[in-house]
Amino acid sequence: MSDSGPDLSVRIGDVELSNPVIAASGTFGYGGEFSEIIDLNKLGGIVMKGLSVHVERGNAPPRTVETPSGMLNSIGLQNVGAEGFLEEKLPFLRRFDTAVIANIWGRTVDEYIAIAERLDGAEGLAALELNISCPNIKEGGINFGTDPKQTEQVTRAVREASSLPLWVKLTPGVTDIGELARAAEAGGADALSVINTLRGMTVDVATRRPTLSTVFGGLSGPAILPIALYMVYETRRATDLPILGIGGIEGLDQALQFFILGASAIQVGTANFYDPTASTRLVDDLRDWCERQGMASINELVGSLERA
Amino acid sequence: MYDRRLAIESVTRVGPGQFVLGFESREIAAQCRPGHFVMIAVADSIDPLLRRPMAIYRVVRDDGGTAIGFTLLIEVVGRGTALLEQQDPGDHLDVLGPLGVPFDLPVAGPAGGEHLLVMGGVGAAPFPFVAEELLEAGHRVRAFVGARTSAALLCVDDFRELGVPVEVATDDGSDGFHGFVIGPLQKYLQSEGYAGATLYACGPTPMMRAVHDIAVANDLPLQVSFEAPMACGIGVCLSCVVRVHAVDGAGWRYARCCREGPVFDSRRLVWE
Repeated sequence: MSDSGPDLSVRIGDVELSNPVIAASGTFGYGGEFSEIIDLNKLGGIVMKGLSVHVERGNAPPRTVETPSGMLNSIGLQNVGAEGFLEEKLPFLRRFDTAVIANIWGRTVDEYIAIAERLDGAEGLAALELNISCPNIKEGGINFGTDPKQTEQVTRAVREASSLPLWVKLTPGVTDIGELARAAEAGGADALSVINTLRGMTVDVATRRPTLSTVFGGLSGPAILPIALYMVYETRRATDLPILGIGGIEGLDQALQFFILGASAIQVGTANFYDPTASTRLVDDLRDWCERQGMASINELVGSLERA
Repeated sequence: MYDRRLAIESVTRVGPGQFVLGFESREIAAQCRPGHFVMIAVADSIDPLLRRPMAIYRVVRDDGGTAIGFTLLIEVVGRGTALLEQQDPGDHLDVLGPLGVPFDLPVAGPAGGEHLLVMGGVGAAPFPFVAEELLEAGHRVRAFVGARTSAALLCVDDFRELGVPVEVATDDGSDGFHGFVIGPLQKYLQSEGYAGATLYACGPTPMMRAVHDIAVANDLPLQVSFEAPMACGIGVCLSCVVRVHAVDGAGWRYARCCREGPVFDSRRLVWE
């Protein structure tokens, strides 16, 4: 152990992070708002709100609803578009010593290629994260992320369109996530973000209508933690790619479980909404924990799961 | 803006399911302007998960006039506010704030304007603070306070203590005008034939829309404080969007109520 304490730095393929705590896409905007509350330099990385080539207005409200220990969202991927991001958001983020990861999405493979190409070579981007939990409008609206062939196809298309490291964010709404993990690997993924939100809905009893304007939305928050942990476990069994664990992390205990299961880094998502200092506090708590354990590096913990 | 774990200094019941929580925080209080809000946790628990947005009610000052704390006027409307009602002095809650765009008050301009504050239900919460600032700047203020019934009327005593004339309306006719608060407002504007007034409104959306129509018809400026469900309160979750006219006049876009509001020029909003 060095004088400065345990080493929290991790590598996700070619991407080096100062620590394994990353803010998850859609819960951190483009970083600006949070810079008023926390020191962004303390984070290992920040994943941008999902970007498309064009500005996206998003869904009609109500877009979110609170659920037991969680929430549903159906934002509709509202974002500033590629030009807005490159001109108004990315220059600000270059001032910080943290990895900036662009989450990208499309409705067709061509739209994925277009946003990947537009962001390729942008100064200050560390990686792309591929959101494949979108309906493919050319394939009858089947989600890219639930069909192994489409997952492989869109991953390969983006792989060829960009020189940036490529993380593929897997959806949990599948029978065998290992199959999708292998499909993303075959398409050229450098790492896997596990998991995206789960589909769910609620009903307003007074009006007998779905609470969300779009009927269903994505469930996130502490409620999904055990599902996310199991999905990381299954993904680890299916592939050796680096894993970014996501789902229900609000502090040290949840993060440690992901590392033990084999995640090299974790993403804090919904907790950013109800506890805006959760991510930076977790960095401190991880360092303290490693120190107490006499652990020189957080990497010693990764994949250390014992048999049941 | 500060994220702080604060002890509840006081809990004061003011009506059926209506109460005031007091907090001591020089940092937050010093930044509070009328119309600002805070995001407050409702319990030390992950269920309910999210903090709730609450308007700043009053800023508490010491004898020297220094802001030392703030209060929140809350009405029980659901599970979160019901849990807040069970809190006792000494309990701790996480509070983030102050947040949002406050009312644009002519506190530096020439004194003497007339300002009409129109409120329904717990939408009254920010207005005693608004009145205080306007009076201090030498303006005239009149309050129009609506509620479903007499016992649920809020802030009437605050206005009377400040010397602000109050007109009351109740849905059930148990106090003041029998009907919505826009009744007395319209009557006042007709009787005074007033052309120079500035309007402010907060309450149920149909009420604010009615005040907007009156403002447009009488060519009076109006600021509304909009309420929308929020998960984060700082502009990242994109839950609380409202439609605003695009700057170039062509079409509309979604604006975040927490960041570009909660106070809007009513003419910026697309009233559906």
